[in-house]
Amino acid sequence: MAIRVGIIRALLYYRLYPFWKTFFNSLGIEVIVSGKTTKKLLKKGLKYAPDEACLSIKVAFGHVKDLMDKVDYLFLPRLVSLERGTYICPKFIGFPDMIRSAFDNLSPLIDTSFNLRKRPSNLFFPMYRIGRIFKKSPLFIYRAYKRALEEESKYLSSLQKGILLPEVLSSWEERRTLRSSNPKGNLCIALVGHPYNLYDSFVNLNIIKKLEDLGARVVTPEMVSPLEIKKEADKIPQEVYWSLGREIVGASLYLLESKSIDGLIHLGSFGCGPDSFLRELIADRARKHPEIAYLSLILDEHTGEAGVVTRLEAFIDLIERRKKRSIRLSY
Amino acid sequence: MKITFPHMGRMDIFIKGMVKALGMETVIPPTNSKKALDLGVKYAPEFVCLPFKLMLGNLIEAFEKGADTVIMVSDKGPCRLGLYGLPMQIILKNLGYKTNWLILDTPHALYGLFQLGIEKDVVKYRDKLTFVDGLLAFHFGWKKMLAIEEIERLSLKIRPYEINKGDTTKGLYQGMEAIESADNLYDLKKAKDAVIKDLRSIPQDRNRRPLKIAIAGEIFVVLDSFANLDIEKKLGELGCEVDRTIWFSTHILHHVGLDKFMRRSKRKAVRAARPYLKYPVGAECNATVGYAILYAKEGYDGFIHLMPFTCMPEFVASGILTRVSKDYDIPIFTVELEEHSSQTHLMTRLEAFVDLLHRKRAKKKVNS
Repeated sequence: MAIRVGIIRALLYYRLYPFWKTFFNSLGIEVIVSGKTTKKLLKKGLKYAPDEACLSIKVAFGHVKDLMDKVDYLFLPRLVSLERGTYICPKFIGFPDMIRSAFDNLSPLIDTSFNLRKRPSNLFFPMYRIGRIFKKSPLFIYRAYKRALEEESKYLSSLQKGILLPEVLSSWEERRTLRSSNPKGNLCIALVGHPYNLYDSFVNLNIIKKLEDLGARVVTPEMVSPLEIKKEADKIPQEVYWSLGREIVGASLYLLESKSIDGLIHLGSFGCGPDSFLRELIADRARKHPEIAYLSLILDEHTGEAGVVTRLEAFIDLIERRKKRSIRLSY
Repeated sequence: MKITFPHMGRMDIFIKGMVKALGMETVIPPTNSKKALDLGVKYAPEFVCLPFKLMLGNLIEAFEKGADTVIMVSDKGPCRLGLYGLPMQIILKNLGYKTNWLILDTPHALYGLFQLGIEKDVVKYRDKLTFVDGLLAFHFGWKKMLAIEEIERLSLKIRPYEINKGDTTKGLYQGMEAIESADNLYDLKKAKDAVIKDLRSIPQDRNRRPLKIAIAGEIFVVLDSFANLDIEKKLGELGCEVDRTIWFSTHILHHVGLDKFMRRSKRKAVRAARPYLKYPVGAECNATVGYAILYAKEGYDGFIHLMPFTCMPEFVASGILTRVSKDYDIPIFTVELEEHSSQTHLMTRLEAFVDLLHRKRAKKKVNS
């Protein structure tokens, strides 16, 4: 029987899943992903996570609990840094250790550290260490690594086509061609935030679907090219050293400056450290662009659906009214 | 050109001492108070940690007093401290203050400090000052800091034994003022000796056997008695001998790399935490876990972990401390501090914690 490795459907799953999955499958290892986030799963997480945790960590605890007994190895890499000169978040660094202290009789953890802060070319070494856990030959590991890199770059480039990440991910998983997007709505709303808030449809109360139902086209940071993000982020006087944060700020500043959007929604989770600063930076820039409406939503485990719907409807109404008025004024 | 800086514990005494010897022009914000906190809370982002709010309050008060340049110590860590300057600049600019910022996050930034001094006439009588003057000024500030810490340490030792509640605290505050007003090394030594003598002469009941409690956590809230609601004093008056793990001087010594031979150094704590935390998370996280282990091994009765609400590295520590508490059989109490924390609320929880420790000790005695 093939060895089964578990990957949680939380945190950086939405970005790195194709990379991990290709790597493990090429090594002949089966990958099992935890189920979609549900209320039951979150409740399990709340039981084990410390009270002070941010929503994303609580959700991740739930996923670990869900996956725990189904796999031989639990894959929780210690993601310190994935780019030069940046960190992800201190909570990501301590995450495997927190899991180890919170749960008893855990299946063995793979908690290899990924620290590419000083040397971004070092990605192979942690991958090699992971491969050695399963006693694979170095050449075999290298081939799997190369294949994983290829798949990842393909995945990342298809994200740029203006199609939302869940659709790209599912088409990648099912190995089918991307459904060509037909942007419907006449409003363009940018939705920015950490990927684990944007794409977990339980956590964000299916906000993307709701916006689309209200007649809006949704743009996310993944659709902005990395070059533009870098250009905007470099203009900030101090370096934003959280790589996800940098991307969020860079993308939202770019979208605000490009004036291609009608509204900007920042989605943050309760208790998130970086979000508290990012909101301030984005809100400051949004103030300078009064023609673009700005909304900041904070998600927590108690968020009521009705409250979010009301705010979104009001937001869309506001933009539509503004548009009508500006058309009338131009006559 | 008037320099200001945000408060952190009694760091102002160190800087005041240094500045006094150099003749620099500085505006020192009023000590942390409800007013500073209210100002900070009003303008700061909602979910930011307590130190940010207090520092912002300090800076607003300093700008009202006429400061125009901020010097801030910072880092390039994963913690939010390294980016404090960015939102603060935005907020202060929106409030209409013109600000110069000097953020000391890398050794390279010290060059900026040097340049600032040359260009803007920060230091009076510059032509008369020499490098040795700078060193002497630093030495004087450092000595002052050490004197303050020594009397604070002594007060922690004496407080659980005092017969009349509040004697030690009164003596400590008077002593701090005396040391603060000392102008040279000779006065400083004299003032310090007098304070120590005063503190020792407080009537004490030496038959008590106080509980031993260690305090660790995020550096700002551990050092700043306003931010941690005077938790040391509260514990002392409940009859506990408190040991604080972080002092301003030990923190500096650690970062210069001179704490190798100290008894309870951060270095040793970080090493002790290795079975639980395999990677440096940043800030004091690893040290907090390590200190809990070290103090449990020394036979301390309890451990208090202080952290600001939404602090990222300390949150990791708080998760791991639950396991340490089980493994080493030491009660650990995590206190989250925010702008809404109230004195009475904390007092009630502390009383309950101390009760628990007393009962645990009695149980141990019966069993042995």
